[in-house]
Amino acid sequence: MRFNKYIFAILFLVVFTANAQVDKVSIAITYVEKGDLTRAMQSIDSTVLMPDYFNDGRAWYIRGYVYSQVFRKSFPEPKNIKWLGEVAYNSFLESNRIDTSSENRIENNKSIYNLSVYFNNYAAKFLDSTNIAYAIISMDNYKQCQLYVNPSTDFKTKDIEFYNALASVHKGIYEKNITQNPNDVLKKVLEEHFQQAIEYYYKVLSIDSNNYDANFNQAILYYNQGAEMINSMPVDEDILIMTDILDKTSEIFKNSLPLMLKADDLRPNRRETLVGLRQIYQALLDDEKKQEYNNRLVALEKK
Amino acid sequence: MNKVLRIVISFVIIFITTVTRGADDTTSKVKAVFVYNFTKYIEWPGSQKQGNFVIGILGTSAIINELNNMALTKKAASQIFEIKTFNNTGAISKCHILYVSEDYKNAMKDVLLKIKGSNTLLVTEKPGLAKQGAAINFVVKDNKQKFELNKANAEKYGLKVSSNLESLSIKVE
Repeated sequence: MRFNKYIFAILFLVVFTANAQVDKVSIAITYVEKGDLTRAMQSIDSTVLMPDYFNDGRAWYIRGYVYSQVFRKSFPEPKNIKWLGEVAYNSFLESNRIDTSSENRIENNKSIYNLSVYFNNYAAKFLDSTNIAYAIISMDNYKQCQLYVNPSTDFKTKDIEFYNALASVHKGIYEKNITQNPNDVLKKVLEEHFQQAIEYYYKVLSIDSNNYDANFNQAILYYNQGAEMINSMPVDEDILIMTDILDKTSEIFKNSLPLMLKADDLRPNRRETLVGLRQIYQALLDDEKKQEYNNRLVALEKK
Repeated sequence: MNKVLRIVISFVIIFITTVTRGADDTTSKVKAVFVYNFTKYIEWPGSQKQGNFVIGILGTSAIINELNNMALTKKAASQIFEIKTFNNTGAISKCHILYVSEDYKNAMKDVLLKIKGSNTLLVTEKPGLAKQGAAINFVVKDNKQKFELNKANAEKYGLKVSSNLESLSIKVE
């Protein structure tokens, strides 16, 4: 709130003292202040097209500001998110192009950084089942803004966090629905979510093979896929078909094992990984190993 | 002029890890499917094709639940499944299939005495028991559930094993 009052005062002052055309630009800010965002956009859009303002870096800066405020307040209208943010971003860029003074550049870059914060927050908010695509777009825009302000930005940590989150969303959709006896069409959709989750976990591991969450969750995902294939098999399944299923599930459980072992290496003696390893070894019919992890689990629970 | 914001929302909220479904015992389900298939691919004498189709389990085993579930909806041809559990070898009564759990792996002599002269398919789950009287013995090979078949031990009890089942088995003589 304090920030808003501050920027309004400063913006007004800058525009007012700049030249006689001040009112045209300040009208848009007044609309923002009143909460009339549509008129604010209309006003600044028509202003920057006027010959007197077209090459005015400050006018484009205000346009960027107006649009970034609309952008910030427009959630949850995902279809608007992309273009609003992009108009704001491009306006700041245009302002920088017209007015190359360091003062102007600093202000625009701060605004672009703030825009990146909004994009980041939207990326987090859109991480639900229906808007994953917007989360990805928002994250791409976040990176674009960050790179503009600081071209050497390292996104490693952010990528790990975001890919893990995306994978978790896909994994959640798959696991929530796969046990509900889905029809063939839904099964195909769920299979896509499964593959997406696996891909994102691989992306995390390609950045950091020691990431616990990616190792653990991917192991769980594989294990549950195999277990579900067996559990959903009708008890009167023909023995030939069952043999094929068991060949597949055995491979799936084998995919799960090294990931869970790695998770156990990374964070030894966690209950969740010990349970996971016990289950995987049971599924692989390795009684000796299953017992070993069961013993570790019992010892842990005695502590 | 323009206060720099902080990135306030992270993705941590999404990390709700899922633990494996602890109750999953895939082995029992697989064995239950095998047992059901034995009723299809093994033929009992005509005298045994009437009344309930009895599956007895000696000892405790997770397969009991699976077989009870199976009995609710499936039949062996036209025969209704009846699942019986036996707490000791002395309690064993007439059944089409006798499933001997690992608890009773050392009680083969007593078991064989109890089923002598009957048309019982003896199913076990310990390496070596197909050579000690069992017709079917569950074993693990390459991390997969397989079964050994001792055809002679099935025929001894008047049972006819189909060639299809034989081809999927590990043969033991």
